[in-house]
Amino acid sequence: MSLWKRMRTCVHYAVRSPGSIRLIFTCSKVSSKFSLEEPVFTNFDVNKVIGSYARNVTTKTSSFNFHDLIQFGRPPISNEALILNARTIREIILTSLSRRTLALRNLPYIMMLNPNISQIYNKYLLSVNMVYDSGAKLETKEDNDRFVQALQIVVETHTNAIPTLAKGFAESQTYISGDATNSFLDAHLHDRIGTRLLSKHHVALTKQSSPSATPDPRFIGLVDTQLSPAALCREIAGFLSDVCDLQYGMRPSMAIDVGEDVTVAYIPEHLEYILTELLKNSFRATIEHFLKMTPASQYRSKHGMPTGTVPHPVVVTIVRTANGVVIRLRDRGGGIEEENLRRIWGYSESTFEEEERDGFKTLNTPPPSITGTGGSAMGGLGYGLPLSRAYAEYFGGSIDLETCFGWGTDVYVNIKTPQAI
Amino acid sequence: MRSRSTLLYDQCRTCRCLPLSPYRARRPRSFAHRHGRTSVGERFNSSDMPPSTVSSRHFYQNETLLDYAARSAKPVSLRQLAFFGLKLTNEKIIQSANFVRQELPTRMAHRIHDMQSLPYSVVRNNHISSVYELYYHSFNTIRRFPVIKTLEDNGLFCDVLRELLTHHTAVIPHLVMGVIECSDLIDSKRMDRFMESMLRSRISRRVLTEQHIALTDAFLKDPTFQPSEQVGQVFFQCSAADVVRQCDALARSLTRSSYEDIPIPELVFEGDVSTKFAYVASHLRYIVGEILRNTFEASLERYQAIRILPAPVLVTISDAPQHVIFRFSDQAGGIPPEIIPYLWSFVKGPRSMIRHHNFEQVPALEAIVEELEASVGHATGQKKPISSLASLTTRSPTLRLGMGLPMSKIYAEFWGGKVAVKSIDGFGCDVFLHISKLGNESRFVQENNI
Repeated sequence: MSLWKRMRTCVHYAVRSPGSIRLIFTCSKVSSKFSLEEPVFTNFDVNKVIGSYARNVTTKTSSFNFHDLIQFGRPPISNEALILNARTIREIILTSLSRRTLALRNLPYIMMLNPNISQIYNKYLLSVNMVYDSGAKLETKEDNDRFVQALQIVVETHTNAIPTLAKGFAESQTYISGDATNSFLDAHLHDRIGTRLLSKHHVALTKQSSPSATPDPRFIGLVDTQLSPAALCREIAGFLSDVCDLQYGMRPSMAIDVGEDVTVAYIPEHLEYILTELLKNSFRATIEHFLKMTPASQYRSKHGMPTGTVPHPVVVTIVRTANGVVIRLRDRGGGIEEENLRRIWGYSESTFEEEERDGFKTLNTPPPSITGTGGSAMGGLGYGLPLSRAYAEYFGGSIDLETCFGWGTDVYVNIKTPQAI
Repeated sequence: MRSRSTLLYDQCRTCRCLPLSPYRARRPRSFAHRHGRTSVGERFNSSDMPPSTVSSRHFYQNETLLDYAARSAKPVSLRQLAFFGLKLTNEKIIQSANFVRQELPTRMAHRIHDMQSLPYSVVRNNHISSVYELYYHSFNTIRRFPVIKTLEDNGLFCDVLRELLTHHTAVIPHLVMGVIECSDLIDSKRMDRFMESMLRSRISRRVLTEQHIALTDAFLKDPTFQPSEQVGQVFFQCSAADVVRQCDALARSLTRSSYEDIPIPELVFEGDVSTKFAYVASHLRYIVGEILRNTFEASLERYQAIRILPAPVLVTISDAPQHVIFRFSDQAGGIPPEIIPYLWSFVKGPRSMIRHHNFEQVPALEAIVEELEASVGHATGQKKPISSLASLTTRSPTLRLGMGLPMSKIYAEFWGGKVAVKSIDGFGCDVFLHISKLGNESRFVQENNI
């Protein structure tokens, strides 16, 4: 039985019976056949691992900055460097995963019986096992390859975790306060961003350093050193326009007034997620405001054909600053009401209609690249803004919002990236 | 313009003593006069504090002040302040007069008490101590005024109020100078809080006073008068775009007079340009003036560095249910990141900057005060008090106080609005100004504005 099939059996077993003890026994069967020389992990040991890593509160083992991602220079990277990197990130990832597991264990008991949440919890236990196991010995290239394989599986397992988690929390609203939800999810998503970034980056570095890879000076792991926010915006706007066309029968537009030629070194997936969410909000607001304020006769002729009147474009301004880039999105979407302003940064606070609460399924078109965030619906999840902010703030940036109710909203995305690589 | 020495001989109407010119604090002791009483303080050789508040008697008499400070000021709703839709009668005027008679000393007592708690090193500063003395004198004056029972009493009371308004005209520049000079004597957050509470309290007291005087005048002129938004020249019907254009014209002419051949960006309007709303005209002019001044100043600096014609400033006006929202969007280069943490503080960043401001700005501010005092002297007979805010609004662009934003914030937030600044470093700034529409009968109560 292949490794992946074993993992899947494990997960299914866990879903059917949410008791953690049975899961660990199953795991131990899997891991003893999977790992080459390592001892069998019993229930007690896994907890010890989690406990000891979660107690790691030194900054050395629990955080990293942008420079750490590019510290080895452009690929191909030497095996020694890769192994060193593997060892470092294993510590960081295990610390993160352990903390997440403990935080999940701190949730009210009843919530853990929700199948969505318990599914996530079991995935975390598995991930801890896999990362610990596969990286226990990291000395040769083969060790690294094995570790990389495990990382890929872990990343794949958690890919669609957010909608599942969101559903679980939405269903458990009576058991946990809004504030507790927000603080849990803030920490959870922050750690999640970090672990996924490190894992995927290491996998990418390894791939780019393998002898069969063609060297491309543009990419260092996941980092694109010549990322053009303007090009990204255009790509996203095109895709979102199609979605709008399907849903509303009209296409909003985006115009870049300043900063066409700006390039930065950043992680394209992150910026793509942020811009997608923000443009999605802007486009939706623009169209709905336009439909509200403009009588149908002005934008549709007698025969139902579109006339010249279209919604105002969303204006994007891109400016390279001393330590990063600022992207301003200015729309004419009617602004945000005072009462809503307080809630937009919380989780599960979507202004999408109640009937469309299954926004998880709405217009499930895949995003332009495989970001793995599970389909860009035109709203409903309520996680877009806080998650975008988590991405922006990960390396010290920010997202700010100012609204002129009755007119439109300005969003300022501040991304911190190094000057030159 | 009268010289400083002639001011010495004008008499204070309330008690016929010498005037409360703040400059008295700096004159030689022999000219000092304390309402016909001598005290231990007279023999106080150090030129630290002005005589009337330095005596030990002042310490022991503080009981009265503490009694007033212990009371809480009655929160005044906007309806009460503007007396919307009420029919005026004798009784209502007298009621209003007595309300003001009680509220003013209470609110002043809070501020005096605040000042008493400040470190000695701060209050011994000339400017702060003159404000302290002024407040204490005013507190006593109003406190001692007997209960108002007739319209004649009210007439006398209004005279006293007018006197008070004119005496307090120059308080803001004095506070500003004091803050600059004392910026390294006290924790900056504490100083910010002090300034904020002083200014907020001042706004509320002045509006209360001006409103009562205006109601009295209107009632005496025509007893069947129905109060409306126009009452008291306090709440004006403003046209949003017109106000901005007027402030723009003023700021532009001031800037041109100092920097002759440097291009100033034009304003381009969009949005609900014809919006009208009721507001305190002088406040709005000051705030918009400050915002435009900042933009022009930044534009000028940018032009001097890179000789490119400045892009026009986009002014967006939006008519929301409770607010009118202005957005000023410029491309004047943005705010340097080091300054951003200190944007809303009265006490600016690193010490070197403060000392620099200190010596550069104080002489110019003194000129404003002198002018104000001179105009006070001329205008004592008139009914309309002069506003120190207006004098700040028309100051020269070379006088950079570094307080435009924090002051604007206080004035905007007093009525439930807000000011926000978003800067894009190297590109430009967006300033968002939310102004509450005071014409509606908003239910909000200025509980914190005491």
